[in-house]
Amino acid sequence: MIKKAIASLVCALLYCQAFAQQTPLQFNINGFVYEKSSNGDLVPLSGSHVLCLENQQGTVTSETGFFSLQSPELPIRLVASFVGYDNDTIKVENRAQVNFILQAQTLLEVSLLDKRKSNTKSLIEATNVEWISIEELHKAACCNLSESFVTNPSVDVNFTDALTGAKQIQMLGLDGIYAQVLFENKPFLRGLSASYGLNFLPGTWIESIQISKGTGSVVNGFESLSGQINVELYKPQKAPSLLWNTYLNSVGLLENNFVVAPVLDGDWKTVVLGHHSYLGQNVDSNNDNFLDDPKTERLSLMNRWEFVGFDNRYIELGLRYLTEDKEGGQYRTDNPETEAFEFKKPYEVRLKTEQLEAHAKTGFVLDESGTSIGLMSTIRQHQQSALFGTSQYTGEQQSLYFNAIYQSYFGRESKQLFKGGLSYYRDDYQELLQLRQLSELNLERKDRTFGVFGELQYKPVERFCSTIGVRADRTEDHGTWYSPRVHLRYNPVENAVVRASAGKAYRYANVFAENSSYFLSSRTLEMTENSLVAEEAWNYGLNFTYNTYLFGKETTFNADYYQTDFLNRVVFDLEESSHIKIYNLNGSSFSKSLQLDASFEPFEGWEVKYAHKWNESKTTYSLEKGAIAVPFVPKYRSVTQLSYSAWQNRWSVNLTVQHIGPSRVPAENTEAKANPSYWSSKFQLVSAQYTRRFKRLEWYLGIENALNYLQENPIRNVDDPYGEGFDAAMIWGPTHGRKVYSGIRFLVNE
Amino acid sequence: MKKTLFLFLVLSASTIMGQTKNKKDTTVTIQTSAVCDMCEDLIVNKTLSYEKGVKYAEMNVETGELMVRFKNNKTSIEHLRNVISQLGYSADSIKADSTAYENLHFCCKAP
Repeated sequence: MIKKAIASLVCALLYCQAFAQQTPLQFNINGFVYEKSSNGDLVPLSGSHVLCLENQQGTVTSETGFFSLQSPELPIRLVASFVGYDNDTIKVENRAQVNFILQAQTLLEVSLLDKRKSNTKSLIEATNVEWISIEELHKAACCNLSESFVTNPSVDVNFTDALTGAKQIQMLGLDGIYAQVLFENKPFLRGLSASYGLNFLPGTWIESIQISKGTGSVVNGFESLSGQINVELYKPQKAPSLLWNTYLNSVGLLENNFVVAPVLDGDWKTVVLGHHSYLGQNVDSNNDNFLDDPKTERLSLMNRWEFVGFDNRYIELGLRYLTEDKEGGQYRTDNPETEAFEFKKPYEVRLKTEQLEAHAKTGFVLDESGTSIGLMSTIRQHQQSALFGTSQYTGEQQSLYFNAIYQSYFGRESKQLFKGGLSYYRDDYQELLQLRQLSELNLERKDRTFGVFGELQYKPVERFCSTIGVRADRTEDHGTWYSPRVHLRYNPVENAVVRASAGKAYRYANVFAENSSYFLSSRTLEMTENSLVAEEAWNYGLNFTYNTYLFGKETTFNADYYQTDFLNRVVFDLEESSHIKIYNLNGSSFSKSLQLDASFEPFEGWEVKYAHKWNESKTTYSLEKGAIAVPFVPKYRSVTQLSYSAWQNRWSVNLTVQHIGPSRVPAENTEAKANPSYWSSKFQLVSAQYTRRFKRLEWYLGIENALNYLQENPIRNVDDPYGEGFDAAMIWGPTHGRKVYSGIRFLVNE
Repeated sequence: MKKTLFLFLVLSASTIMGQTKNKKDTTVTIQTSAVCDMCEDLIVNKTLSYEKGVKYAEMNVETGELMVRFKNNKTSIEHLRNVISQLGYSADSIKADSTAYENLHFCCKAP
């Protein structure tokens, strides 16, 4: 053994000498790759790639961020890259040591602490950010963005009605419309697509998701009353050469997704993302003659371009198109014995959505200390039409968004960061609503919002960091909005962090599009107000995270408390079974949410996660009764997750058990006063997935709603869809039974 | 609740069973010519993790020693040595495949 070692050492020496003699000009280049955290510390980035541009040879950094390369010639250009960070290129002329400092890619600056863990909470950020990586997303093969939150305790996923198959999220006890959903820090779901747009983004396209609770950074806009969800898709430079995903489930839904990044010579890099989803058969597991899932065909395409020719400039362009057709509702059976064969006019549900979007992002680095200017813009055309029995809705939205951000480090050791800029939102809406041919409403709205913002990241001492921001937005109809926001972070000990946040946020309400599910009923609309307010709320939050090692394994504890207090809100009142009332809030409206979670690795390869969340969401519907619970917000939800992955992640299995608490369901028949509103039963959802990985192929097999729990009689008065009392939107539990799915992911990464 | 418990038991039982079948496993140490983290990445992460029968592998980059645990009935030490050789590294007495060796990154080319 020792002999061998000595022998190889001698060989090594001899070889080195021989090598040195052959090529006397062999340069040794070594150095480190770091990331700069928001407080200015340099943290080594292990596993980042360092590549020599001249000879295309590279290496991977060690745990300390160290790398070593040799080159026969100088000068050369070295590029350091790491997923989630901007590449950095350094020209090496004569230096022996080269240090890279990579910047986190998003403007929100989210730091990835430990790349092995799929779900990470940052200890460095002032905002409470949770990072969901691709590994976490693959734990439950999700079809789209809304489903990708199934294994995440911070965001709840609910069905909104029994007919359209649309899913909606809730965050901090509030509907998804109160969270700001961003696509790489640009507004993504705004206006008409705010509540159902989550279904339009295929899971396969997603690279990572960041969830931050509480009001977000002012840089990203005036919205985010409950939080921010930022979605990162595959980018031209980091996309795999080919990623193909085919998914099939037991009700017959077939999905195909792909990501292709062709290798191009020259400075333009591109990626094409595609998605097709098809469900062609009748699915009716509860035999009520209404389809559980409408027949669906959806096609979505995206093309992104990135120009990499400049060292100090960044240009990115993209184009996205979506079209979706859904057909559901009552169907005829072939069996003449059943009642359904006879009805003359089936209750049909038809939905059609079309979206076209172009976006651009460009950045300039002005000097070495990191002063930069970023420009972002999005143009979007959105069209949707819906037919619910005899009711009709059409909506059209043209949007323009522009944001310019200047950022600069300053102060001692450049630890303070200032961001400031201007933003402009322009939204034109045309909406038409015909309810059961009784009433017709024509709405036209033009929103022009011009905003100015400034944010300071201030770090007086090592253990404390603060982000203070303010923005002012001038609107045409609602005056000027001032949104101050503060985020504080303090580390009492190194592995613990306490965060506090407070902030104000605003949004324009689009009541019809956001609540269109409730028109799947025989309710009549009552609007008494002359004009609806813009929604306005304060959000306060406290968070505590503690990382420790129990029995040598990393363990995380986390506690969150967030409260949202509405100053102005548009109330969508379902308290009377025959009416929908829309009016401005008179009284109080708030939502409180407490979440405790812990994760632990009991043995090598095992991971256990547990989270429990309590919600209290109340709104005043009538002044006599005061604030009462908002319908369809569960009192609590707990998520238990158990996963095991074998050595080198060759196969893994994941089991998720959710307990969902009761939620208040509005009364079935208010005239009779016999059935007041009631609390739904609590239930459990169990899902599991097995994944087997090969070199280029992954195969997964999973089950959803394994206990086959179903809400009983999800559609009220199902026998008479045109009569009084029909309502398909009073949904608090699953309307879909057990589903088994399987699929493959094929990955080529050249 | 009972159903959940059952599912959990089935899942955990199957993994425990997987862990107790150790009698058919052999653990060997192969002396390779690997010298750096990139070599380890290529041999362990990119190759042996997808190799049939291999249950675990660990590389000592300092010495080039590779510890492998594998199933006797699925693969053999001779086969594993050949696999490593095909990558461009010597494995015990088997010499590195010369074309593969030429194609290695220069930092991986061992003495």
